[in-house]
Amino acid sequence: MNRTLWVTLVGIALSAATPAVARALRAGSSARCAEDGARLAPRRAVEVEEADGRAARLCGIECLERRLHRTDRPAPRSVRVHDEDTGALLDADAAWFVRSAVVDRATGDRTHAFATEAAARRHAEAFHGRVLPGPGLPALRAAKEAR
Amino acid sequence: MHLDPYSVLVGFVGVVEIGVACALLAVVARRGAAGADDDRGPLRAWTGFVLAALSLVSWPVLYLWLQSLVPRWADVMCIQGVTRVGAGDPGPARFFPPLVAVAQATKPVLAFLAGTWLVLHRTDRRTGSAPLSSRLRGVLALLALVALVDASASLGALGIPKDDRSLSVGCCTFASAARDVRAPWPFSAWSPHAAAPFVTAAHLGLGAVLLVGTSAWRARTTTGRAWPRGAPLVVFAAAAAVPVGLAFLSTVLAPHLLGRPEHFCAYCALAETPESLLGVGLFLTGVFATGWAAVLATLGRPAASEAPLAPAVAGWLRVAQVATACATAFVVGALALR
Repeated sequence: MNRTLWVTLVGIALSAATPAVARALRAGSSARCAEDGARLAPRRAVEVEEADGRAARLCGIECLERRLHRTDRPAPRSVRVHDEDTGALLDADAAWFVRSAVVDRATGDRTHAFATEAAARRHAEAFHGRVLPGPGLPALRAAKEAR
Repeated sequence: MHLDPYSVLVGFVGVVEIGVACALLAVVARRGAAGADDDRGPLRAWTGFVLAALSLVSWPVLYLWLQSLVPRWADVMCIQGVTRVGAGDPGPARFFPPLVAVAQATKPVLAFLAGTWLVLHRTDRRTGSAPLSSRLRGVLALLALVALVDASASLGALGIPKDDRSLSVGCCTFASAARDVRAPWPFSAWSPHAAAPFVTAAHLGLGAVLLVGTSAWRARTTTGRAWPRGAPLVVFAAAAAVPVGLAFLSTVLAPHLLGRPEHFCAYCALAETPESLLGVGLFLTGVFATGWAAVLATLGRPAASEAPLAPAVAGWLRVAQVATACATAFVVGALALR
């Protein structure tokens, strides 16, 4: 093979490998929201498993509401949110959501997730909030439609 | 006006660009009026080189400046937001978005014209009678005029008071609306998700057409024909690849590289994934080199008797082939990422 062909083949191989190498080098840097690109705060991030099995992370519950209202994409397979009290990840279908006067500084989010109804009601009473009716994502969808 | 290093740099490059463009126009007009045939005098050539270099330098400088403006507004997350600051404002700030749009549009035109002049100048230097003199004057005059428009737009955008203005609606979040109005027709009629497979097919298809077309064209140059019958189709494919490539960058490549399926912002991709600059650079090199081969094969004809055009055209087509192949490999490598 002549020199030009070798140079071309090496160039093609390097170009094809560049995106994977660059992503691997960036692996440790801070992640961003799949919906609006905002930086993710560890205790506010929402973990979504899309219908095609792909994992996505959102910056907060209001981005999750926007994602749930998308008509151009199938509904996610599963969603996990952080419990406001403990920071533990919990299945969003079992979580209780509260809209209150507490605004998250990083995301501007006013909706908060709790593992139990009692914890949700305590937060609502303390911070002029409203517990969304029933646990799970249908409550979030209904609240967004009502707004 | 807020003064920071990038503002000063944009201002400096803009003022020098205007000065050199005016000087070049004066030189071109004087030589044209005098009826001088020889274009190879050092003054015009060096002024042309300086303007070509300024044209290339001003391109990244514009984006570095726009990126440096991002932290000034609370609701702006990237250059996409900066380009819309002042939209709908009743004051002079309303001219900021169109001025930035003009500056962004003229940068690639300037780079292409600068390359066109260099390609023709190089061929003209190889002849004894300077047969491309009048064409070189025309290209230089066009380069100077576009540089004037570009520098005026950049300086105008720089000078407009915009610090207390804000976006009427959010930043690049809104790029994921039901329709992507920035994409070229027919992709603009669909949501980015719906358009993505078609944009990808169109982009890769045009890349394949360019690869096959430039190969066939290059093969014909061995017979001494610099501008074979099918060459206009290859040039048309290269021209069509630009808007399709832009749509591909924002609709498909940006969400993939960023790892954010809902984020259709080319500016975020370029700022946060620097490797995308390599892909964009290779793609533009492929398109521009095809254009320069076409320019040389058509505008360079008067020089053909003294300096054979076919080998030079074949050289630019080889550059186009290698760059397009590497750009396509980059895209395939990026799309393979999960």
